[in-house]
Amino acid sequence: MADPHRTISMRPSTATRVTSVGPAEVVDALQLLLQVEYLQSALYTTAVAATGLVPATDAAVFAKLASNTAQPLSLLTEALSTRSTLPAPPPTFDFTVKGAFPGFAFAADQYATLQMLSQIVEDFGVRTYLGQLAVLASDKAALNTAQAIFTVKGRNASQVRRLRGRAGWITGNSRDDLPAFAQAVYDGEDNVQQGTVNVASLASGFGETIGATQAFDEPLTSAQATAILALFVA
Amino acid sequence: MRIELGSLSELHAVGTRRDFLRLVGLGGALALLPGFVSACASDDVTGLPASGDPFVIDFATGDAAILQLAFVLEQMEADFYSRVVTAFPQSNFTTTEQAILSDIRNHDAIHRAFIEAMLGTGVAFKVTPAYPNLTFTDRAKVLAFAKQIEELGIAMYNGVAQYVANGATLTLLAKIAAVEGRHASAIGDLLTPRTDSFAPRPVDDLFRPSKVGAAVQENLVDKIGMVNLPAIFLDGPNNNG
Repeated sequence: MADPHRTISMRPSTATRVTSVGPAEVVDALQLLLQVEYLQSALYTTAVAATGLVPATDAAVFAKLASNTAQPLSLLTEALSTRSTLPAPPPTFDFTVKGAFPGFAFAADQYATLQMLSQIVEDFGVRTYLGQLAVLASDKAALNTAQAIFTVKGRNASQVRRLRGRAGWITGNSRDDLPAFAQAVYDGEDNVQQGTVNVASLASGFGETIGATQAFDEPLTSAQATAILALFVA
Repeated sequence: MRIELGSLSELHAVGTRRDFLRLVGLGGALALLPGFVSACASDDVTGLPASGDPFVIDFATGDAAILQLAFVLEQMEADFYSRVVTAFPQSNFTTTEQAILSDIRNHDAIHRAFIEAMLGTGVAFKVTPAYPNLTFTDRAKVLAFAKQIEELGIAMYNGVAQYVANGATLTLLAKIAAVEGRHASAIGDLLTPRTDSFAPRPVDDLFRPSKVGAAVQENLVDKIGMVNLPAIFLDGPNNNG
């Protein structure tokens, strides 16, 4: 995980409002979210450029997934720059995920694997953002930026799951048919204790415990998110 | 001017717009929302919008007011989807679509109950939704309304985040907002499958509470009002709050 660099940005700020150096926790949160954007952007940008990989029926979806990463990337990059922090550079990603998807190379007959990767990175993205919102609460502009990107992650996750014939929402801590390394993305999603309320007890006739776990996504901690990200870094 | 919830009985006794204005006073940060008391002719299910009792969300109560606003939205969503599910025998949804809509109904019913539990049953204000010109057996109309209400819910959750004082509450509401994103995506995709409809824009909206209230009034019998609104609303990246 990149260290937050406390250097003054070398380029003139193009922001309309330059803030002071943010507290470390805000900057760290933004750096983490930026890594999530790099991950998703790399996956989708490479996928749509790979001839014959995404079938025509789904091409519009993946084109949108790819094009939708541009603004979040620039928003987070600018958020860091205006907080006098150098955005950490993108790493080189390994989408075989250290061999969990052996031979994956964005080749034409590997769409099923691309879909699995998409589900993983999107459910991961939702939970990582969710874990950082309270950290950003002291910085309303950063919070707003993250919140606006975050609900789109929910949309993305739902769509890539449904393209695979799965429900758009996560049931319990199930990783469906994803490889074992992905379990880390789903551990904790079976939580039904929401604050002081056990929501399974409110779900009678509304899906019971299954419905209760689906109705709420769960945050990943910074440490959990960082560990999962590391799996994707070459 | 602060409206105390203890005077709710006075509000319920109010019959006319003039009486209501006199009660609320003209000082304070009262947002009178468009269409606040204008009844309209319609063939709605449960009553005319804005024809019922007024209720006021007082933002001086902090997180309780935010939860109250969220409770209004979740009540509407849960009620709407419940009616959709009830109409399945007469409607033209596929069985796959019925399963999706049943799930969404389940989630929103749980959200509604959860937020009510957070507020406290005595405090939580129950609303009566209204659905002018909506036929619950008509797939196209149902999905069009579903899209609207999902988008509004997302914009509400995103917009109130900046006001939530308690970090745990912020996270809890965001847990719900993530799932609303999943719902909105599914609805968009049911409308125009495998297009960009699941996520039309790279970032979602943030609406200020009064904008949410104005939008939701069209589908509420109760007259919604807001007082002591926060002086500042910080816009999100779409700059349309």
